Amino acid sequence: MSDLFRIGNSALLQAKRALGITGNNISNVGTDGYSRQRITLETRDPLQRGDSFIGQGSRFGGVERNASEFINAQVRLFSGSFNRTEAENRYLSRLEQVVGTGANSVGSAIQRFFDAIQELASNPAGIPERQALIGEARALVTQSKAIDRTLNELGSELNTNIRASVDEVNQLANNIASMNGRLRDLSSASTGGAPNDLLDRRDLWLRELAGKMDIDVLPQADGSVDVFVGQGRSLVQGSAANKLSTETIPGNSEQLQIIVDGVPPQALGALSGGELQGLLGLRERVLEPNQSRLGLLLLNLTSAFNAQHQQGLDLGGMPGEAFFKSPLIQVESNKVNTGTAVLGIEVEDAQQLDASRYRVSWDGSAWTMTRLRDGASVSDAALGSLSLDGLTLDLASGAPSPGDSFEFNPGQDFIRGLAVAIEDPADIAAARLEFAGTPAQSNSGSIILLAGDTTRPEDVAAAGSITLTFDQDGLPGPAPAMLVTWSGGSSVLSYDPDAAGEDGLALEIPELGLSLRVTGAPVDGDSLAMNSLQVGVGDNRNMLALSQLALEPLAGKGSRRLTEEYAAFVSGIGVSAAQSLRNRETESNLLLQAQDFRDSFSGVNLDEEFSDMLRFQQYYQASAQLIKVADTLFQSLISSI
Amino acid sequence: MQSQQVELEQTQSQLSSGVRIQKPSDDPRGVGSAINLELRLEELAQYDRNGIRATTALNLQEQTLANASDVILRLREITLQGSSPSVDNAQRKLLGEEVSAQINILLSIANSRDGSGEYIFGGSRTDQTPFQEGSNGIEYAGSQQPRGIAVGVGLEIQVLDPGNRIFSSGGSDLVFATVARLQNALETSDEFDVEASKQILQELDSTLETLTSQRAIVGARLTQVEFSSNFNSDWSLQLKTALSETRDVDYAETISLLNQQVTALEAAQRTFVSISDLSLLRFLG
Repeated sequence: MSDLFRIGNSALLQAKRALGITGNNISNVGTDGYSRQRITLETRDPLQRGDSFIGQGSRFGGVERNASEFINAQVRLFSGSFNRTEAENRYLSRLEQVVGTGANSVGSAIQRFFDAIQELASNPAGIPERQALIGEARALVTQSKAIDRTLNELGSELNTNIRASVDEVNQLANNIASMNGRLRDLSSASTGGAPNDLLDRRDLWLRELAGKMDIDVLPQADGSVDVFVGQGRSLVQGSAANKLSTETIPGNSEQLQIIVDGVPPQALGALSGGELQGLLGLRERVLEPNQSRLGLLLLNLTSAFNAQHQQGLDLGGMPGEAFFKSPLIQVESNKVNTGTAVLGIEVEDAQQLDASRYRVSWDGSAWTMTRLRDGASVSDAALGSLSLDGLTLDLASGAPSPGDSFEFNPGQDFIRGLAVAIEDPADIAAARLEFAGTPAQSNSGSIILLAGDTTRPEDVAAAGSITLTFDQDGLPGPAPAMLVTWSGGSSVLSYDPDAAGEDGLALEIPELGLSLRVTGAPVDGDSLAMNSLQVGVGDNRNMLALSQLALEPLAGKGSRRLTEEYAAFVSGIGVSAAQSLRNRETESNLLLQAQDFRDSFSGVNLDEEFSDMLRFQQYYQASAQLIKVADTLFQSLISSI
Repeated sequence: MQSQQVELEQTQSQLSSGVRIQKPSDDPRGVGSAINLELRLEELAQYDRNGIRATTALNLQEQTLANASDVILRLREITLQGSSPSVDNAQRKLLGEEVSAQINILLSIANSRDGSGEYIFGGSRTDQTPFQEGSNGIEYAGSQQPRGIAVGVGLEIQVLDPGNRIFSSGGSDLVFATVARLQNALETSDEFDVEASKQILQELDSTLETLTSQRAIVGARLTQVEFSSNFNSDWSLQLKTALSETRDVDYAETISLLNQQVTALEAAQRTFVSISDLSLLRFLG
């Protein structure tokens, strides 16, 4: 009888426990990282009666967690890859919203700028047209700066995100370490049972950590897990956690890198995967190259424009000033440099520049300039002899120490310092110098100046009166010849009167950037003075030349025009954004599959729990019935006594 | 369901704007072509505006040259009348007065200005009266620099010409000197020297010839501008077609896509409802 009571009692107890566990499952159906739990029951030791053994009911075996380390590792792996592509995609989709394709884009600002040049070419003296050109130039600069500023903002936001992400990693590592401590204490105190809910919580933290960066998880015998990052650097060991921190890399004060517990900087690749890898790579792969590419586009435009503008003359007849104010390229000395050298850069040919960072280093005997995008480099013992992509260098001051290095990105900071220099509409140099020749009174033959043009109006102005004297054969050099003299120089150029004809002969005087077209049949000693150098307000030749810049292909940019280079820039961002979107989708699907797999294995299924609940309820009712039967038996026994 | 909803929204925004490429990643290559095409179209539109300016300037010059020809023709008549033996001194005086009036008309024609107040026969010196009274009568004060306007890729049309070549009576002499001699002959001498009148007629004919050939040149330039403008508008039509094919929505295709997406979303929603309805609780509870 007492057997029956005991069996009934224990069954009742197990049924209540089982119901409690089912209840726990149901209440955690929405809890992130929860693994469904199952009660395990075992038989009690039987009683021996002779050679028979009689069962004594059930007893509580423990609570099991439906978790698989293999599945959890899969989920960790895929959440790392997904977070990496997700971080990249977040920035790229913002970037592609910034670069416009419509009426407000830099491309259409460039086009409108060149339209304004043509309008001014149609009416070179018109103040409204001049004002409009300055307005369009400012709009172009403003439009470019809007993109540039957004890129800078994305960059600083990126660094904020990286720091926040590192803080979260540290927080998670601390959580895991202290949980390790608790689990170790509990598992040493208990007799084999595991605190399932705490394990779940630690698994969740590990998953979150893996979303930030690739980790290796090594379970230990004492119930704790060790976590490694990068190439075998310990992040969590037992109940101790290492600390990650960030600092800028030596050559680039904006690029962050991650340091593990003060250990010297790792190469960027050493910490791989996860959101952090996505974020760390964005500046180098996306932000800087695109900012630099747009900067170079503007650098190409403004340097060509300035050069042409300075060949012209403004409304007052003065040589044109620089139309755009261009900033100097900033060179950053590596922060670990020990020497005092400061470098200067000269852009010899803006079209050859690459949208890349460059590094210049001194090893004690030779200078090396490297294009960091692809590693192409040149070396020379003399700094001044280094030349790469149209760039030359000089030592502005100080002296280098072996191992010193310097970095710069020609396009990256260009837009930030760009401005329109011309403010007064009258300062726009639409005209070019005009030449009128006066033949000497004493001439017996004729010299007629048909046309003249110079690319260096300032030098011509300084040259004073320029005189052409015909010489049949008296001078050294070609004969017959035209002797061109000016204050401070002279030049002898071949001139054959018989070949001159109606169109005349071209005379080039490179010292003054002067091209003349002369005809006539002079006799020895005849001369012509170009004494009236004048300018007409209705002269539009320099504007026509400026408008040609829109059509000229850029040599270093795949022979694209300026506006085509802008289109290629937008296309490039579109390609990156589309690719990152596709990657994100792929990774998202993989992660979803892994999570579904985990859910089907470890998740709570309400239907299953409900049927369990019914089952355990019946178990409880039957156990209660057992006690009742025992009681009835007992009562009938008592009453019969 | 969420991703289906996003796709549906995209299709919807394509349809409402008529533009297929909403952001560069929608079609990276297409977006590049679309920008290029748009900017080429803008470039052509600018050539069109330049063409209108050129046409205006050339029409003005053509009109002015016609007026100048009329004056020269009248002066030619006066020369013939004045040199006729049947004309007496009083009549010659009257003719002399008319010449004086015609000189002023011719001078104002040669010093014509356009709508924005620029002299049209001063070369690049558009702010300075090109024909002015000097020590040797009327002198040319303009420049020798003509002005061109681009009306197409690589097509520059000259719209302003130096006036001394147009109002010349042969060589480097200006027609004003000829007319001044005519006036002098009519007003002062009792008789018009035959040789002098022949010389004047010859010079006036030379001017007339210059004016006529200049009108022919201007006419040819106008034809060129018109040709270029036709060419530009043909081209821009082609570019517009290409742009539309690159960037714009194909309505038939997109609407059928929209229908598909709506159907798919509805299916997903229905499946979700029926699956989430499947609970043991419903049957047992």
